[in-house]
Amino acid sequence: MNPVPYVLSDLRSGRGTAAVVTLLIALSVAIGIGVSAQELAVRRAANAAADPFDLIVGAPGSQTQLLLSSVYLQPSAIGLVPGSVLQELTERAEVASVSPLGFGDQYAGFPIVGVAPGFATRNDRERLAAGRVFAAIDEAVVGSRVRLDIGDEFTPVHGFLEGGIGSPHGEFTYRVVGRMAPRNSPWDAAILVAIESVWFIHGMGTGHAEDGSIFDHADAVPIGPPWTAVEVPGVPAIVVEPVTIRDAYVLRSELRNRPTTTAIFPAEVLFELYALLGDVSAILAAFSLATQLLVVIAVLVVVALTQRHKRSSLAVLRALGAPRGYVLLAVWLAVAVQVVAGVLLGVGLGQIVAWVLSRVASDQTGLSIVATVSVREWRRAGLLGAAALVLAVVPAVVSYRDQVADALRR
Amino acid sequence: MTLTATDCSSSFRQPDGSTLTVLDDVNLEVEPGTRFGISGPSGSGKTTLLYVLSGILRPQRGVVRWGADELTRMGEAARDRWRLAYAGFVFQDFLLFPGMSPIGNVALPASFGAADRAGSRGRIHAQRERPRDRAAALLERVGITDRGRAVSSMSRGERQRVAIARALLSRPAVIFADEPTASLDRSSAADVGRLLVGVANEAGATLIVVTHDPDLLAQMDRVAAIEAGSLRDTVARPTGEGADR
Repeated sequence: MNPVPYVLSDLRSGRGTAAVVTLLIALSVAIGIGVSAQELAVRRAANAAADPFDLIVGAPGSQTQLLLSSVYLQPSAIGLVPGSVLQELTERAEVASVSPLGFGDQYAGFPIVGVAPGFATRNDRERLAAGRVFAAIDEAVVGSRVRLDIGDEFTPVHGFLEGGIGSPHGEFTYRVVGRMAPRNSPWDAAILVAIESVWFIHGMGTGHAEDGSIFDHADAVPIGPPWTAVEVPGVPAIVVEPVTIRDAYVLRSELRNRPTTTAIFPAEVLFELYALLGDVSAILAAFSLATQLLVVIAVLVVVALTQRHKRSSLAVLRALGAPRGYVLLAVWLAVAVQVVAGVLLGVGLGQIVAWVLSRVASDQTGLSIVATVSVREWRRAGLLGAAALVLAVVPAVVSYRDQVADALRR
Repeated sequence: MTLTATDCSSSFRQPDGSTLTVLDDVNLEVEPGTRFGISGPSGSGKTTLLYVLSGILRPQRGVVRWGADELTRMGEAARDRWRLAYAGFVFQDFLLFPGMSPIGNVALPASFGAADRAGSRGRIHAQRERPRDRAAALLERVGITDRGRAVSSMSRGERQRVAIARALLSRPAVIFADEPTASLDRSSAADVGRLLVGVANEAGATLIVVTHDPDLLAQMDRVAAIEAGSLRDTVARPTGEGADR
């Protein structure tokens, strides 16, 4: 028994319907895969972006918001950590390095972040792509995606949005002296400057004991720790690199329990965030699967309806001596070919959908999101295909049970 | 194989609940190689009789026997196997498969499995002839030379020729034809009628034809008239005309 010649002829004569059925299944699979692969890719990219941040100290409040502001540079109004904490951390034995993060200004939509000089090279563990680290209060290092060249000068604008929601800091200009290598994070779109400049242009001094007139003697202002002013200005966040893992836990525990600070391990907050999103993700996955299943059922209804038009053809097979099993197998196989083709095409299309979504998401977040179709997506597509193949038995059995004489009379 | 139908009755329940008797105590005997015509008005039960005689439909009552094979005692699967082994079919509307070439259509029954014939595994396989080779030869016999053409582009007469070739693939002992010329113009009908009778004669097959076509009936050895399910009469060849045997 070999129903393949009949199945091929059946698909050939109904190629329009077969193409639509295959395409519907493919699209349904592709969208499911695209979204699922994307979710995994976003997590991987988010983890990678948080990697350089060992411990982040912020003002008490939302840990998630602190994470989003400091690691992902999402604009938000967060409280300030007292400058005394910054001073203290620079002196602690458990701390290898420390950098404040000062947000609030931007240029052409690129956020300007005040940091310590070592932050730009992760304390000499990373090389700049070009130029050098800022050494003066009016110098800047730009991220790899910032549209400024070394030697360019720019005036910072207060506020987060492009074009500024506040006024330009008209009297102050930065000069670009270096460019960072790509970090595959939102920091690629950031402009790093000395924290002292951020404090200064907001009228908070420079954090150092001897402030002079920086418009005349910019080089004279000290850059980086220690900050020796009697009252060091507060900062939105402090990135701390502890000496040992044990030190990291000691610092986190201690700073978390103070009334003026909190401390987070980014990975820990991300884990909690994923746990929360995980439930949502599972629900979405279930809905996605249900939607795909509905598409498959709709497709099979179409198949069943077209099968009614094929009644006489199938009856002819029986009249010519084809056993019932031949008809059952032929109908099932015709659907199976379309389902398998749809699933395979869908996985291919899903890869494309994931790639497009990755590009869009990468552009929007600055994260390096690379979505690939993994075993999980193959498994899901396979599950859907298997369900479709089981459901395809229904029209096959209907044809199997059909009365030849009745069908021939139609 | 001699066909013997004894007291065959068949009825259907109609939508209004009443019962419609389609065959009413039909008795029939047809010798092997006979050209047997069945005529009668529409709805008289001609096609039902054809289905009963071919094992497509089992009568509610009565016996249909082809030689030693009693179709009415067989299950559906056995009757399928019987048709595959012994019968060929020609339909009014050809009922070819448009997605296949003529040669594919003719060779299709070979894909149903080995015909289970008493004493052999079926003539196609017994003679070790490839189905497509035999299909090609049959198409040539029925006058279809362009075997690569799509059947959908063929004239109705050509399509019926392909259908006749298909019916011959398994070297059937009996060919059933249901109004084989009804969908054709007069000229094509005459050609197809002659062809059908001719190939049946060549194959030595019994030919059972349901038809209104007087020209085709004229080529039969016997003609039975059926009305309201009753086979009223069986007459010998009505005229001296007919295909050569």
